[in-house]
Amino acid sequence: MSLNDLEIIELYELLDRLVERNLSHEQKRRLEDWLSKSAEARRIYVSFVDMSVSLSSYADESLSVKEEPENRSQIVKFINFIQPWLPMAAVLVVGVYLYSNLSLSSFSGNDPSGVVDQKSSSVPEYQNFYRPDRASPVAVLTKSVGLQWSSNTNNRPELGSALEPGVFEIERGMAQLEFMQGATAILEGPADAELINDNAVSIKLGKLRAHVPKVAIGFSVDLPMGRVVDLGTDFGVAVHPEGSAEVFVYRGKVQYKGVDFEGNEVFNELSAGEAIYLDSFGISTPLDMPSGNFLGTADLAFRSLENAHRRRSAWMKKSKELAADPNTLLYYGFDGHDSWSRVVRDETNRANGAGDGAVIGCNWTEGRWPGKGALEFAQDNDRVCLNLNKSLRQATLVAWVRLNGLGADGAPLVFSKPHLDGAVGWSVNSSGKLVLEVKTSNLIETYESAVAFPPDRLGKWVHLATSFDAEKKWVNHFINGRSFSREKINQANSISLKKGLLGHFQAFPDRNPKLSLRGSIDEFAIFASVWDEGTIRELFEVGRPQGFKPEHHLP
Amino acid sequence: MSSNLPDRSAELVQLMMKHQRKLLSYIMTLVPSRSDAEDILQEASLTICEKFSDYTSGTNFYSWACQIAYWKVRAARKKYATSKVIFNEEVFEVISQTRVEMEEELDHRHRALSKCLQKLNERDRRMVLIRYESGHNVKAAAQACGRTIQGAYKALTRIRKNLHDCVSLEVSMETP
Repeated sequence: MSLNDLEIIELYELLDRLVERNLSHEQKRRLEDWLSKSAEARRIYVSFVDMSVSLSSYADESLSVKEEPENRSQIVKFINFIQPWLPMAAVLVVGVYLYSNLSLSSFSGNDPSGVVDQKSSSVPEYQNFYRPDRASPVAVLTKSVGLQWSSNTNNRPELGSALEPGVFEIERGMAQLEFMQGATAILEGPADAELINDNAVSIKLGKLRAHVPKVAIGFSVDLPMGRVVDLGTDFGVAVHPEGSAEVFVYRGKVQYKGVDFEGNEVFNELSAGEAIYLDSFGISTPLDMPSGNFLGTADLAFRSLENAHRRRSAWMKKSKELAADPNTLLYYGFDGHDSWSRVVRDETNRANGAGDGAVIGCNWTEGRWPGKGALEFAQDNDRVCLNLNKSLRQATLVAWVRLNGLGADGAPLVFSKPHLDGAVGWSVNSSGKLVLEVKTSNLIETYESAVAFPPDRLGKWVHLATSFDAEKKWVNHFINGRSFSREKINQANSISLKKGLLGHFQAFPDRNPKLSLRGSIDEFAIFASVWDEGTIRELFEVGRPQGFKPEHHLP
Repeated sequence: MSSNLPDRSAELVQLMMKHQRKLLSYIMTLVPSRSDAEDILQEASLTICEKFSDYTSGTNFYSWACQIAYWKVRAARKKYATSKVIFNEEVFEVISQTRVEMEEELDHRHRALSKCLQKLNERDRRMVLIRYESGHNVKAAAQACGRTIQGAYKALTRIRKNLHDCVSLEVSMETP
């Protein structure tokens, strides 16, 4: 049976409904009828469904483009598809890239009419298809504290939204904007602002504090009677209802250029620690820097953000040291993976990726800091297959985890196959105790701590470490860098993570064989030595998360 | 045949990475609901891990993995029997057969789609890629692109049809 034109049109409509999941029972029967009778319909169906999967694949790829010169077109595409969870670091990377590599002004126009003939254009491909036009986002709303939109505005973007040029009015609270060129601005209401472009904003009312990295030098803030242009700095402005304003410089320099009420030019160059008051006539007067917080909660949030970035940088440095340490047998930092990646990279990078883990089911999510990766285990059978083909008489297991709950069987961290001698299970049991189980020739020995996870620790990032020392016959448990308990070893003389599963119980006795961790892991390591409390404390301190408390985030 | 999984874990990971999209596509052809298909892929992946020692290096991994996926889908049909997008037994079998016959062509189509996406104008490409991003739907695409949901549905219908036609044209030009 071959289909006529009208039937093909109807078939496409049914396939559209199929992929959008709004096919009625009658339409399903109609589709089935065609699929059973027409080879042509089946071929269209198969290719259509396959195209949907390919589109998903390309869509996810478009989000995971790295900073590579040959991928410049995709970099710009990446900006267009910026997502709520997009890390600030990535924005900065893009900002750096755009600043150093792209001349946006050279992009040409695009054809608004569907599929176009690429060959007919004489401009390079990326110029033809990836021109950021006026509708392109200029900033992302990345954080908010107590944010309440002005009743006058219809522009009420959700947290994580990419923002296009336009008015941005808030009644109260704080909004953090990350501009595409790299500047970060915190706006505190009541505020009436307008996003001009990816490196400029205008303030008619309200307070703004900006951090401008070198890549975004030139970030400008229009005030009622002039413009502040950044020269690489941290600065703040406050615009009052009657039109007067203040400019404060915390680091670096800014220039203020404006006009007074008589049309005379007003020019000030301000360095760190300097401030001016601009009255509503545009006349400037030197001002003392405020001794207290400039933006109240926003100022605290700003410092918290800076702190988080500093901590992340320190962790990255430590992370590299750990990966290079010959005592490190396996090290998953969970950072810098593509959202579709099904492999967790072993950062030790030994033996051609033999330590890499295969991700089954889990989703990538945000870790301890904005932009840091983590794996979320949310469903039965979620796991990471890993293999460490070594028998260890001394070892330390370390992980940063956030547990969402403890089921009847507890929360599995890592388990090897239970029938192997030295098979090990590391978990938090249903009572909240950190547990190391080791298979000996006769039985499974259990070494458990006191209660490490009271209810208030669930949902928070916690640093866990357990050392196994068959030489001195001790198992030590550590919580958040501190020794928590120690148990004498009975018979166990080695442990092995051969055929291990991260976040899953494997088939250890008396556990649900499907059950996975409910929570996230954003660092996991195995060391071939017994680490003392000082070393583990250092790992905790370097990796300790900082920043906004989740409960202060508005949805 | 190798029977030592630990020595072959890198090979397994590499093969799964290479063929994951196609495996999902194969399953979705038989179970068009994305979330159901992902669940089945997850179960199939576990079995593939467990049975990998049965796989002979150098042979067609995708074909071997599809056999596992096929039986996983069959087993899952009862579970999803009430779903609107589970076809009857007869249709299931003929679609499965058509899919096998089209494998080579589908590879060509996947590559051609990349070209056709580039031929879309910026607005349409943005719309369709946002729609197909993980966890997104028409509503998300509509919001991100400043369209009404109804408008987004219409636009996506047009874009998919354009892309499908464009891919068919590219493939017909590619294969004499």
